[in-house]
Amino acid sequence: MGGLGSVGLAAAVLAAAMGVVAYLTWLERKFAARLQNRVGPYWVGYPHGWLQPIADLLKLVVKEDIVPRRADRLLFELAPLLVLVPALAGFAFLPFAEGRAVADHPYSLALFVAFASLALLGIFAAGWGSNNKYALLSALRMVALLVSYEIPLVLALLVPATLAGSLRLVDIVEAQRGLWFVAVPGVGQAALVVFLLAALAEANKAPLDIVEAESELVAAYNVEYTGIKFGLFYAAEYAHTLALSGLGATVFLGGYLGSGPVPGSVWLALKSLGLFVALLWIRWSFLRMRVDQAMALNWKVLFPVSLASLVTAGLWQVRG
Amino acid sequence: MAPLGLVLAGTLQAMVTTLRNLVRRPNTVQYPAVARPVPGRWRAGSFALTYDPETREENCIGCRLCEYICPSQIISVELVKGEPRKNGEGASYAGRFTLDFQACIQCELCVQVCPADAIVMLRELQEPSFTREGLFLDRDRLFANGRRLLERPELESEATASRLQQWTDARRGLERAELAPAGEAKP
Repeated sequence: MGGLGSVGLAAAVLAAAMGVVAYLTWLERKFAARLQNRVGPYWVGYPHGWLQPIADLLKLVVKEDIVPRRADRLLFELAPLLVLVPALAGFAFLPFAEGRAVADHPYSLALFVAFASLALLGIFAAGWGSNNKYALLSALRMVALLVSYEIPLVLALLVPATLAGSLRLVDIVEAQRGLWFVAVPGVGQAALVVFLLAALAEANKAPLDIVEAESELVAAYNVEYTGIKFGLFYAAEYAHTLALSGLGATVFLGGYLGSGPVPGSVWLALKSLGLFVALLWIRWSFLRMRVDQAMALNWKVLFPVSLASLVTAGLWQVRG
Repeated sequence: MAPLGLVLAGTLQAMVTTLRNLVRRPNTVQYPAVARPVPGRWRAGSFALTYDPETREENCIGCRLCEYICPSQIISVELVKGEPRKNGEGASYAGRFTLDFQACIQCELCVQVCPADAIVMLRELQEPSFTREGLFLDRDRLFANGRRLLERPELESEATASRLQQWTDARRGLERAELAPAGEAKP
């Protein structure tokens, strides 16, 4: 593919991701409302509030941009981009049609995870640069949580990689032609569940949202942010969740594989959306865990389970 | 840590509960579009000073009982002597009557003490106001509400002083006439 073509492709994927992210906020609000017997956004864009994301965006854009007096100016201004860009970069590695991704690379799965972890730097920059104790506490919690949950997340992602015998996402999808990896008895389901729970922590959603913990930390590392900079954090959170759902759909649910005349990208989008809704379902069904409980879940449950399923997958691979 | 079975069962239960909510109709009433029925003894509406439906005379005799009982001390009445009423209910009137709705706690005590059933609460949703003055009810606004009640009696709260008295007496199994000396009982 020529340089110009790949730039165009990247722009198209980026635009699609951002547009979808805007409406994911609407989806989450409607879905959460229904789980709680409410209606959710309704009057802005009657019926069912379909103009709500646009209204929110306009509101964020016109709001005053406040920088705390003793903030670390450079880190404070840079942090939203440091968070958003890695979150969006993940989309580049997802293959959306047969053998086609914006960035196809022999180690694209590892690269995806590496980029996703980079967001951590931005979050800590935000927490540190705000010169606010709540923001800093939240950022510290985020680092502790993400560094821990990164391990079961990566181990769970290595299960499909082991089954496919490759770290290249296109190869992993192609290896699922016969059987989606989620259907591999025992190993697949365990890895998917671990992946989903770790993804919840990565996206800092309840029950693992000790980072946000409104009752203790006001909001999160983004307390001091206003206007569109806050909006960028918000978008990054959803983009990150969507990218992780897309990754889950790719490595466990067969990615772009599907039947009928429907193009592969649509299949991928549907599967990602399904995983996203599953995450929301978990997120709105449980209360926030304490810090120690979240850590216990990680080290005492997710870590052994993911390790066991990885070893089992390896043995499976060696025997088969 | 709790037993594994308990944790799994609780997890499952939580997710089933939310899933069941998903397929249920939401409880929300879309208020401005759908008006809920206002209960008969609604106490969050505005106030009215009533008129006698037959003689069209003001019922308020300016006795200031509501002013004295009001816990927020927001009612102020001026008693004016005048001509006897055609329905024989006294010969005094409220010259000035103000009720500052801003501080009203909707306790309904003024309604309960009124000997002439003159002040009543309105059985409708209170209209919002953008100014303090908008919540200040003077004599003219209270009587304007009273004139609305003449046309739409259903807007009047079911609780008036004499009806409240009847309900209380009925619960106690008493006849009002037996308690009060003849001639003083209200018709």
